[in-house]
Amino acid sequence: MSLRPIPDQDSQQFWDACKAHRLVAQTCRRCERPQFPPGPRCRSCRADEFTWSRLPETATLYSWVVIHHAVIDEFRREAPYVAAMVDVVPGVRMPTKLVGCSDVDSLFAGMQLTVEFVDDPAGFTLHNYRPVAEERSLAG
Amino acid sequence: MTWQHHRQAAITGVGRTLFSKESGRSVLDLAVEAGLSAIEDSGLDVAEVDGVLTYALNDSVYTQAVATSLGLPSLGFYSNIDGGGNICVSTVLQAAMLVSSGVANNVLVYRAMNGRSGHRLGGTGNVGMFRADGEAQYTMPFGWMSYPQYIAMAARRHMIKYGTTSEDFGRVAVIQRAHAARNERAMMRAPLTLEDHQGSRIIADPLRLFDICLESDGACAVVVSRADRAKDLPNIPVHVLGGVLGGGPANGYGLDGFFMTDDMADCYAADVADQLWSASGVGPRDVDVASIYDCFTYSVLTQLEGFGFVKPGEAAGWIASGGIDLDGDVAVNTNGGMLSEAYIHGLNGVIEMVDQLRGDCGDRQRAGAEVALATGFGVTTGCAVVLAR
Repeated sequence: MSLRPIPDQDSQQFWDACKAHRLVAQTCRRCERPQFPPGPRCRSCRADEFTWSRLPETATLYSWVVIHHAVIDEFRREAPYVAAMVDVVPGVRMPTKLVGCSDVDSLFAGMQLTVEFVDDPAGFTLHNYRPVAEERSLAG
Repeated sequence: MTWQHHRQAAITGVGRTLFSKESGRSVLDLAVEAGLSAIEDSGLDVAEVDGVLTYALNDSVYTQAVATSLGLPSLGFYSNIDGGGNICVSTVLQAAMLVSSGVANNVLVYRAMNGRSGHRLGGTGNVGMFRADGEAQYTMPFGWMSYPQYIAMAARRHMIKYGTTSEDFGRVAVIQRAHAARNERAMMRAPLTLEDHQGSRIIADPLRLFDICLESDGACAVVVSRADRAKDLPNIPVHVLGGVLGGGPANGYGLDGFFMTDDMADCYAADVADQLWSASGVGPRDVDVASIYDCFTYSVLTQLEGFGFVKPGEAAGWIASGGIDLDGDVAVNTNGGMLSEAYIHGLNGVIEMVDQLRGDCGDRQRAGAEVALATGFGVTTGCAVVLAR
């Protein structure tokens, strides 16, 4: 269980895509810049027509917090856990949770990550990230 | 928003309640006590107060209730501002704008809260306040949902960008506790060592318990008057030289969101510093004492850098060499700050600056203090006022 994200008209398509295990970015039809979070206008050129472009599965670690003191029960059971910000493509930096990192001392800025969707029993899907294993990154 | 004041407005009175973990009183009662105390300190008649301002995060009482309780005969202007650290000291700036523009003559500014026994800002014990909508739909579902957790993300970037360490954060807490030992109002006065800091439990790595401000019950208030009225009042007028409330681009879709900013290591101060110093007619070298908003130790470092006391990345070394001590280049958070005095959301720091400029700080007095800075921090947005006697 996690805390359910409450979509709005600007974000519905983002969360719908997550449910289908696709990570997408709201992308301006005019200047073609992707942006996150989605909003009513392109923050670069103020256009209001968008496409939803598929993002790569990979990302790099921008910053992270190892949360020892969780503030609600849902997360207290999980603590310590790692909240993170990851760079997906230029213009798209996302908050997320890192999974599969037993040694938090080995985390570093720029670390290669890959998205991992997790379906919550309550009917929504979150986009977690997992460090790319050494052998996988060598294999390309 | 920037504004040059030219000494047209002054803080003429200050008041505060006892700071505690459990006041046992209503927030309105606290607000009225601090307000009356500030008005009495100013030497004004209560009936001369014709403006009331406050700020809150769903945890306070409305200005109308305070004006009613004080029995103000008329209310010329009031405003209940939604915000916390990011806008806190800008209420003093707004009061100064009101009196210098003639909208009001004497404005009462207060912040009142049962921040420990009532509504706790971090949400502990108040599960219902966590609703993952708006900007929070992208953060809270991942368990990233309280202020220490949010700000730790920025603190980590400061470490990555500049090599800052947990010990560097800890030195801020240690210095401020030493200041608090000289402040009878401070909630935390027992000596704190760097070892104590390093041994304190990790809350949101890289932040430890002693990197995080207190939670407090209490109220603070100040009265801002026209300068021509202030000169006939009993206290030394503390003039508002200038102020700022703002930030750079992409301040988020929430009240205080910051994850959209391009570089999370540096804060609003770097964006607004030029405006502040140009509006005030002074620079960081002129500042004797400062209340640097210290919701977290990290916030102090990044604001000192952003406002130009030192270059980006150099605050840690400067602090370690005594730069912010009582007799350092600038005495910072001489009351112990919100890490050690109390968490009254930045307004207690403004009062400390007034006390310093009046020369009322006893054995924690900065000798010859003439110019003070008080700031409020919200990562990508924030505020500051420059005060002078």
